[in-house]
Amino acid sequence: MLDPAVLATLGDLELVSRVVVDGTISGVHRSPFHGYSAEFSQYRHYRPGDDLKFVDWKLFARTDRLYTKQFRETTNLLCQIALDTSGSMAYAGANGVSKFQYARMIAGAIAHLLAGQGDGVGLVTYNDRIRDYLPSRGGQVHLRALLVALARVTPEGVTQAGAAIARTVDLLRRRGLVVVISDLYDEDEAVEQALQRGTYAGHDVVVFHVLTREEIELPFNGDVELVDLETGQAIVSNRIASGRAYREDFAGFLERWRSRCAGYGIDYVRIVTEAPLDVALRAYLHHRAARLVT
Amino acid sequence: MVWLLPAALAGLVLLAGPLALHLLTRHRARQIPFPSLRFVRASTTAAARLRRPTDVWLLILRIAAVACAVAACAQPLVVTGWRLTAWNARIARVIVIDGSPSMRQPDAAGRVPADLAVEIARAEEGSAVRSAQIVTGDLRDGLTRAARTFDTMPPAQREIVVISDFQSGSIDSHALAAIPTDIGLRFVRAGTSPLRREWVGPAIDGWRGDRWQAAAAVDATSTSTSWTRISGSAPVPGLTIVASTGEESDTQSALRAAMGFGVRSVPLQPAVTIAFNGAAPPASVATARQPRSQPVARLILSLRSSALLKDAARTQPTPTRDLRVSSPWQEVVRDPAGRPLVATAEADGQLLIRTSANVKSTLGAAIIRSVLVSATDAPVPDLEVIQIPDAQLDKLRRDPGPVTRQAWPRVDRTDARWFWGAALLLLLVEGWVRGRAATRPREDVDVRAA
Repeated sequence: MLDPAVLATLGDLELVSRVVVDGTISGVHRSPFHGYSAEFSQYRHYRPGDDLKFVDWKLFARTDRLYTKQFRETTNLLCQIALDTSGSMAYAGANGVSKFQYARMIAGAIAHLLAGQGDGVGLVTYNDRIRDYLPSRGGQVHLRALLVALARVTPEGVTQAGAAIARTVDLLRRRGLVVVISDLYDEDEAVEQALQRGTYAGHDVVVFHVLTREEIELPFNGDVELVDLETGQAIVSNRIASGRAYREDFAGFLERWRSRCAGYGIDYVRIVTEAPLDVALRAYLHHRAARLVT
Repeated sequence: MVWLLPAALAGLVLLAGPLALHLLTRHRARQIPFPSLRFVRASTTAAARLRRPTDVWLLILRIAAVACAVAACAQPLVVTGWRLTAWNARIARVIVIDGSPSMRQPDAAGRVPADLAVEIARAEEGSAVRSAQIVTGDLRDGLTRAARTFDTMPPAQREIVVISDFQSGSIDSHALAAIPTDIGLRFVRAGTSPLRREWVGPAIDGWRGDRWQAAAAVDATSTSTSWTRISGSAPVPGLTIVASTGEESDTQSALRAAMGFGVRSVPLQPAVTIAFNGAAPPASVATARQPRSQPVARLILSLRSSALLKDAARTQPTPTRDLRVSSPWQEVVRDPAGRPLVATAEADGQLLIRTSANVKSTLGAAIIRSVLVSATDAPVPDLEVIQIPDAQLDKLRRDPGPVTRQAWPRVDRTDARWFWGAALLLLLVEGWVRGRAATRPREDVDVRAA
């Protein structure tokens, strides 16, 4: 298992990405991310909304049934990774790995994975605005540039994820994969609308909700003065007095995001930073591969 | 447990100090960066602190240390059975020694009872944990003082030992009733009393113009006195009378009048010079100074209180010349008009007397008489030969009672030292716990912003 604390100390994001992918992909021989390419993959029943140009008319003539041809994506899957770099992502859990470090390793691993398959991958880093943008392209040179951009960015500022994610969706030239890595501390409605916009545009949308155990459980004993990493606002709190209400509210927050994403067909992956990175990533990829087969 | 200084327990209010400190001290809340305060609710932390004081173990240690210190100030005394037994096993003793004149007269065996009393007292002191001696001529007074002396002695069985020849009447059950019943009484006789005592006093001059010898004899059944003329009167040694020229016969008349009721035939102590009105000042006046020696001062005080002198001054006719009194002279008596009549001073250990009265006046004879009586006074020794029987003394004797609760406060060492030690130990433990808490990592998760 790849301990995120150990990986965070490596520093070389390219090496980290390769280590993660090598550990993750072993046993997963085909990409779980499917696109549209010339290599025929399978037929499936026509569903309203499918592009008519992929309907096999010859088969229709023989069987009087509509089938849509599916092709295995080979080189032309476009992926745009939207990475939250707001100040709240700087929070580190007990293992010393901040949410941003964890999210950056996820982004690097996905980029490495897709680039290894010959797919195009791009990057958008944002807080209350888009800070860096790398268009979705293939090739090792581009991957290296993307990893360098990931390594340089630091978490700061407040979040306005809705506009940034919406812009990320718009930047994809055609249908592709949108990966959002964030702690989702923003106005829920704005983010929800941006993600909804991605699905309406025909993109596969994946949300990696990165959290720490401390955010879920609020384990601080006694009186603590909690300082908001984004706004600097401070609140004196006591776990005895307000811990239970916090945990209930936070559980409701997580459940709302899970149900929202499920409603829009968005893959919602909740990851706690103390979880081994390869295990978390592999579990998700297996889940996605299985879903694509069915 | 008893508290010898219970008022110090009021210091227990100091216990409120650590309690208030732990309840009210606002620890600076640890600042922890946190991703979002969206779900965090502010706490009413003051109420939370009041419900649960901080650092309960430290609070307990501090309260216990303060309580021990306060208890130590209140002088605690734990009266255990072992301690009571130890107190009852020792004895505090006050020894009352008879100092009356009879103790200085040799007994039938020729021993002086006062010397025997000293030896007996020394032996009695050796067996007591604490002892005191009272030498008195009045045994009743001595017993009362002895009972009070125990108030300064530590808890122990208490006993008064009376060492005396126990002449009849020197002590009785009435005098012993004032002694608390838990104080033991023991009577030790010093010497044996002679069957007969005789006394021959000094010669008396002047009575009926002759010298007389007084004597007395006392035995168990009778007392006899004799008064014998032994010769003619003789001049009084130590008395100098200075009068004006031509008053020699008046001077002799005044001296006879003064000695007419008898005067002890002993040398005056101190020597006295009386200068009457009109006489040339004696040579010793040049060295006159304020009285300093004890015999002179005592004689002056006696003259000032002489009723004879005061009565004579009241009837004294107006003197022809005022007596000027200035330092070092001191007046002794005044006439009804307030004018000084007699003044005194000391010169070479003698008493100088100046007066504005004439030697042939009543006041002149009264001055001489007062000087002779005051300067020759001597006590007549106690001649009692009957002693209190041993059987009666045995009835008065009683054993000391057990140590009472009233004696506990006089304990020489209380148990305060143990409480001070406990307080010190608790403070050391408190310091250790405090230091350990300061170096121990917090049990909370150390969470920081990356």
